[in-house]
Amino acid sequence: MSKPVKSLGYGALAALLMGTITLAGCGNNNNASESSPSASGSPSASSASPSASASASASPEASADAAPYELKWLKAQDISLPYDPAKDVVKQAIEKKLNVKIVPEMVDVQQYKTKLNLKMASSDIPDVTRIDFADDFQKYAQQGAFVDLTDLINEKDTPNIMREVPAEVFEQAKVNGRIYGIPYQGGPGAGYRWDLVMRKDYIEQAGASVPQTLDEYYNLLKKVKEQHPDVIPLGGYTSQIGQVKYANNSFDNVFGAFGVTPGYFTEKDGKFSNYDIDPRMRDALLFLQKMYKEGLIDKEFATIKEEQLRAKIFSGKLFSWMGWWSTASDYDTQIETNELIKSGKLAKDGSLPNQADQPYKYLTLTGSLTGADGTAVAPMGAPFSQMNAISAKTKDPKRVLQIIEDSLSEENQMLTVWGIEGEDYSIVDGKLKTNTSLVDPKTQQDSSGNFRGTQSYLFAPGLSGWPRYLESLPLRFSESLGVAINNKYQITDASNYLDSPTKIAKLTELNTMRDSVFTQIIMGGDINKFDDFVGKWKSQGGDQIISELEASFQKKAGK
Amino acid sequence: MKLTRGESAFVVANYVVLSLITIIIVIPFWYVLTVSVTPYSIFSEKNGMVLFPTSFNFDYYAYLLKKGSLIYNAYGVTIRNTAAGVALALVLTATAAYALAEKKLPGRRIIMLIFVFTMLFKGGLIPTYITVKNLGLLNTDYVLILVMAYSAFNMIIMKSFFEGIPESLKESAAIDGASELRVLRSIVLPMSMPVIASIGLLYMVTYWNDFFNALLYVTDWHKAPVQLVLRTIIASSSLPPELLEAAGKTPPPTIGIQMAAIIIVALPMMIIYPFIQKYFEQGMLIGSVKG
Amino acid sequence: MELVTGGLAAKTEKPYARLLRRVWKYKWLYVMLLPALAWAILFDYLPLYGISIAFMDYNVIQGFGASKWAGLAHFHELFESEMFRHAFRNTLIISLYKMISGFICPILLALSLNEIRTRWFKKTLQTAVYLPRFVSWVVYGGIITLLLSPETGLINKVIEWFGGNPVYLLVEPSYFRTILVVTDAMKEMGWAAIIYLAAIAGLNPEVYEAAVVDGATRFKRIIHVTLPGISGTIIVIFILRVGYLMSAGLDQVLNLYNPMVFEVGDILDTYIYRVGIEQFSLSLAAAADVIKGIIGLAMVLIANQIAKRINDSGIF
Repeated sequence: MSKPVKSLGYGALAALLMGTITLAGCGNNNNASESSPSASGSPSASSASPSASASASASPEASADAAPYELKWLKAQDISLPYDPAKDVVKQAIEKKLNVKIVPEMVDVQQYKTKLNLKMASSDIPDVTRIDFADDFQKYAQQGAFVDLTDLINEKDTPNIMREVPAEVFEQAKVNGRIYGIPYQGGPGAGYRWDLVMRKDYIEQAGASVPQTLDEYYNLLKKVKEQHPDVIPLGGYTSQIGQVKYANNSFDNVFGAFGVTPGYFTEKDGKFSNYDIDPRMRDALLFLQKMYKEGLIDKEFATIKEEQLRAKIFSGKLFSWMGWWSTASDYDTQIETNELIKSGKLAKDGSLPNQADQPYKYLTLTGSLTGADGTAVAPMGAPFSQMNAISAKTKDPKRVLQIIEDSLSEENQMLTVWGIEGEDYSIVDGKLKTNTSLVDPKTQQDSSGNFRGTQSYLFAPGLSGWPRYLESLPLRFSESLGVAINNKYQITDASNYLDSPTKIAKLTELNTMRDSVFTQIIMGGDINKFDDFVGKWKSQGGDQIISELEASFQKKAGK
Repeated sequence: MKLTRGESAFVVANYVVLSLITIIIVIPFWYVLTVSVTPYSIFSEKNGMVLFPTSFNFDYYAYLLKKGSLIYNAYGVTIRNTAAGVALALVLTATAAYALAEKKLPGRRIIMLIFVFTMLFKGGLIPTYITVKNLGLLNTDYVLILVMAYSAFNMIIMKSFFEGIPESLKESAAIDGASELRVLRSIVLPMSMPVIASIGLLYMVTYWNDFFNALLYVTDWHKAPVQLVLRTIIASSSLPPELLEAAGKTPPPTIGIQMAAIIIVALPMMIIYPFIQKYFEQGMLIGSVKG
Repeated sequence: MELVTGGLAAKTEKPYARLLRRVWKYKWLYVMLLPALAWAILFDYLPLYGISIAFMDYNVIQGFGASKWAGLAHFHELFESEMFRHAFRNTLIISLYKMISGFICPILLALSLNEIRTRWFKKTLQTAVYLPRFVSWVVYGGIITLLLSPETGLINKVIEWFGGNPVYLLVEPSYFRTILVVTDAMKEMGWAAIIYLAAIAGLNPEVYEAAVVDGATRFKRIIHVTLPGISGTIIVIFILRVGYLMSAGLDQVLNLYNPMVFEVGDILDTYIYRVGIEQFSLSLAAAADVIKGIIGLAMVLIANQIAKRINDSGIF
């Protein structure tokens, strides 16, 4: 399971999804979809359309010419922005095309996972749910929450779905041999998309070039520290509330150079293991310990939060850090802003406009650093991390499936993702350009007072990415995304999609233990703690998990 | 009453120590205020160590209070919930406390046990949620008023106050023909203003600051109280980078927003509090008992 | 009148009838109890069935019908978990410290505040001291983190000023529990002090005057008049807090702890939070809750008995 996905906790995954929605697209108007609350959470707002019609229209093949099907929908969005589904023209267009009536219940992005779990537990399942694959989906699927789609998905009845999600991937997504949902990935921008970001200007001052190997990087850090004593060479941070986020995310590159990445399971010839207990991990930890001692790592990495890291970045106190691809553009602008303020060229509370179309001025990004053996390892997000599942309690599952199928036609994808052609976007010289001035950023409405819910009501696509997604990105974003995607050292977690009840039950504890021990070692603790940890990891569930994974692996291979 | 030397020293020491303690306690709060009006550039420059505001910047407040923002409506909801809630809570608490203060009440111990038991054993998050749902209370206007309307903890405190009221007072009223309810109303309550005020204050803070119950039981944002709205805004602006709005503009840095949010929410309470304080001064015996 | 007849009749009527008589006498009190009882039944007792989740492998979707009975399996699981045992131990220790400090500090604070004669000063202090209550641990924790920062934190700057070496306080296991207790006191002293102040305000001023006439110094007055006067309240609050022994402060720890101090700082509530909310292992979390509840109840009953021996009154 991809690490950043795991490390996000609350609302993370669905939020991740929604997040990439907001990140896609230049300009503020596409963020219109991530907007805030107003009226109709209540179904009473929706008029007639008795879903009783659903069972009557039992002809599953035909796109219903019966009354619109009512879909209860849990919509994650940013409540700090205004939004009213009743006045959403894109939503209305979608409803017309697919013959549905969407009844959205708005919940904030961060609370999505909690709210969803709450609803699941009180049998209030939305008709179509987007849910994390690992843990949640597997758990609920086994408890009978979702419709068994195994016999309903095939080339004949659902060609669009099969095109988006190949049969092999469906194999991966099976639970107990049955298909309970349609895999979803948030497009190319989702998954593991962290780059190593560095201050260009400091590199130049050190007379060096962008490092490719760990040794080069290490020497560069020392040089930078010499030249700038109050700049922290490598920054890190711990997680948001409630989570002992592993700082490893901050040190992925160093780990990677040693050929390990914390938390990932490995498989070789049917035998499983985990990098956490790998001897190379020991070496990596010692190296990090050395770096910490020499002052190359932020002393406070174990206690500061992400926003404090940002504060350091903006004020130029940080030389390098692991950065999520979509943040680089903005950080660069912020750094530039601060530099200008410092030199007096900009007012104390001044700000610069969006620079996303210009090349980076202060930052440079790179992928993995190679180690002694010339290779590296970088985590890669799973091909899909979420599922779209149909509630077992919905009135006409076949119809719902058909709706999903319909939504995946080329035309409908463009509608649900980008909106109405000619208004939300247009094709210019064969390339997609979103209309950034359609919506007023403050009110989130267009000139006729309508909201535009693009990227809000869709079921898929995902695996092949949204149509024309990469075209739509401004310069900086496509560059940073490119670096992340094109990292050739990426590997997947071998335990993805395999069955292991102990993993679901115990992994959190094992990870918490690991975080604790690793952090202590990095900050100077005795390396023998690592060996203790390995022993504990194995005896407190690790061995169990591994044998379950191996069994599951054999089962899937033997199929 | 002249003070001895020792006593004067004590008084002085008292003032000094208390002032010091108060300052220490208040520093974090002062910090919140300061950060909420400090421009971010200065904040990050000083790595967060700002003690006195040098330049004033109200961007954070502007961001939170912009026109059409939910906050205004949410405020109304909070005020309504708190007012109604505290009233209801005090009624429930005072009646139970008064009844149980009567030492001779048959079954007193059992009833006490019933209340105390659930202070320690709770059904849990999901069962409580399901219960509320089955009672048809989800997402109603009054669900928040109801679910926090009683705390056995507070009741017990109030009860011990009532127990401290001399029997003679109550009996002199009974002899004059008053029913229990009247005794409660005209004798006991006026005398118990300090405890009513303080328990009322506790409830008020509970209602005002509630976030979790709102998160669970309210889905319609028009019914959302201000804490929920604010915490959600804060949370969305402090999302891990994967979830941040990065297109063109970052929302104002979280720390500032958080601080401004605190002030926005806490300010009314702080203003009301001194008014409640005066009720603490009361409570001297009203009309003493003869003999 | 009733007293008279009661006296005579008492000799001849059966105890059962006597009981009924008394119940009738206090009928209005029972009526007054109804609202609170109704509330408790609806919101506290109805959900109690949820405790049974701890004894099952709860199937969230199908509910109780489809869930298998698991007996004490989850409890075993808990005790086998090293993390649970650590959390348990930490909870006991931290709660103990907090109970002591939470007992002494507010009393001292209330007493000192009471001695202030200047009204405006007293009022200001009263307000100020209650302020932290309005701030959540999310913020308070963040501020503490800043203040204790190894390089830029205020505390360390003060230490340096006195010639010492900066210490990274938050990650030192030996300091963490102290930090928890101290910051908790800072934040919570106010509310208990308020209650004590209210209790003091309810004391009969005549007793004070009598004491002054007897020549008692201020100090003596505090010890012999004020303290005994509010002793009832003190005991009640103490017993109640004992019941919360097992909850050592979720919000606070959640916001202050870090990987380095895990072993000494992780408490039952943070454990349950991870297991119950992040992992949504409801049965396990419920089992942990049951353990907490049992111990809490036992402690309250014990404390109550002790209080009765000492002071002749407990909560029941």
